[in-house]
Amino acid sequence: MICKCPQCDGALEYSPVSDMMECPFCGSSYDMMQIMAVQNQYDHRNGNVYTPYGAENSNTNTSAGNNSYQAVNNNIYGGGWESNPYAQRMEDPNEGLHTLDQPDEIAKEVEEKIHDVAVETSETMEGNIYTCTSCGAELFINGVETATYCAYCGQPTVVFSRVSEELRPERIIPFSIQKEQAVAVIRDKLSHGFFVPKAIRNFEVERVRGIYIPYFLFDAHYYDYQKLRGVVKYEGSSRNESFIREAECDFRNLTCDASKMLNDETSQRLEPYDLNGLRPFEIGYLSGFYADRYDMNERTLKNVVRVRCKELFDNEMKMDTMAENVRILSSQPKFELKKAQYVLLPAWFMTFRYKNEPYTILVNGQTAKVVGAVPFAKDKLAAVFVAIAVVATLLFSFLGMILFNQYVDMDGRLLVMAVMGIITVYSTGIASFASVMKNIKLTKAKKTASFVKERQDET
Amino acid sequence: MDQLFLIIAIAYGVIMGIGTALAITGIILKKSNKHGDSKGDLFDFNGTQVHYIRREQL
Repeated sequence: MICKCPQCDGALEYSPVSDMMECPFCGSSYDMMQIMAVQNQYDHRNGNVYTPYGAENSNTNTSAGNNSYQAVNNNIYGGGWESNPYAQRMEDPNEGLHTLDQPDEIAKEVEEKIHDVAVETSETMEGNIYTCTSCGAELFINGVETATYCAYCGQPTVVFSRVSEELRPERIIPFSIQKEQAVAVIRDKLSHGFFVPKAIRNFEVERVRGIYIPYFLFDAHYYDYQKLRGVVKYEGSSRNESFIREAECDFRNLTCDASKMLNDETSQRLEPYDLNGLRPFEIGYLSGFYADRYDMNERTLKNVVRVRCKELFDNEMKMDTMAENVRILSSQPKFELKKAQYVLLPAWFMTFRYKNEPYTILVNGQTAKVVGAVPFAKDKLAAVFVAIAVVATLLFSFLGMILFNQYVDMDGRLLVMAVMGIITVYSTGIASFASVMKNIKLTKAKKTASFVKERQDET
Repeated sequence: MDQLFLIIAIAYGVIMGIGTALAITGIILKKSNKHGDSKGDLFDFNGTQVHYIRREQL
């Protein structure tokens, strides 16, 4: 399905700024409800069944006596069948096929065509072939995608068969951050990085894609009876103490990404989303963006949710003791999953290559939070490292000569201080580098890169 | 003896010098690469209250 502009026939796209469906060609804008109401009216009249060819054909038949209604529907749905042979035949009144006197023949033709497509799909590769409703081109879309741009005409296309009733998300948070804003946020972050290579600072804007990530929102109940032990500090001294905590928690709207392609660490870093911004799902919100269908269901995710609930619950219990180094000695957890809700949450993906390695930076499409790290310029880092090392070596050698000469008969305190100094600087350095490397590894995650690449290759 | 102190002082200086360089460059790198370092706090927007049944300190 493609939402077409009633003014110029261009493809409408959802605009995060105006919260309207906008036409990039003539500048017209329409309220989402207005456009969807016409679509729903259309669906209702056609028995609410979508097939790549059949629905439009029956529409032509039934609306033959109502030109204004048909004109509106053509603006929204019409592009696809105008360019396919079945629709053209239906549209031409001189051929007589728009009447209802040969419905079985039409249906047979439609079924044969669908069957051909199905056979082709199963024989060649795992996935689905869809028809662009704008230019009639057939597209291969991977098994988890629900919307994409047409690879041939570049029009944003929403594929109805992937958003069937059972898969249709219940709610959605539409993009509130525009592509330009996402680019600006990323540029801002990159420009502040002292070691960021110049090649990355000037990244290509075309490599930014808006993708709706499938999430499940879970409501869960968690109960636990825990025995804990921790160190309590009191007036300069510290002692081990034991605690008992019994508590329950009703988790509401616990977010859990439902795409295998995107790793959990990355999606968790994108959070939080303000779930007050959730709206009832309308197909129009997908126009102009990509979307992935969930490939992990609530049963698969149950254990992930349980682990996440436990993590949050345990942290809360540990914090409540006000002690340090708290350990849980025993626990009797009870977990119950109460409700699952399928939603789509927005994110901008920016992918770039540096030294033949793909990197991906994500921007929360609602809050503009940036997730991901960038590689560093190794030569610049080495130069700074050597410069600091030389200066610091001279300083500490000089300091060492003074101190060690003065404390010839040292009682060991100086030695302890020296060792402590060494441990401090090395642990700080190693921890910082480890954190950066972990971030970079996450950014380089092949899964995330391939998640985006498949979509970028299609345009 | 003086020579031994000199060697110890220089060795200490080298070890601390490399360590300091490691720490400083590490901190600069971490700061310049701090993009979404932390996981999102679920309680930021979607507050969920824990209800305590028992709190005991033994």
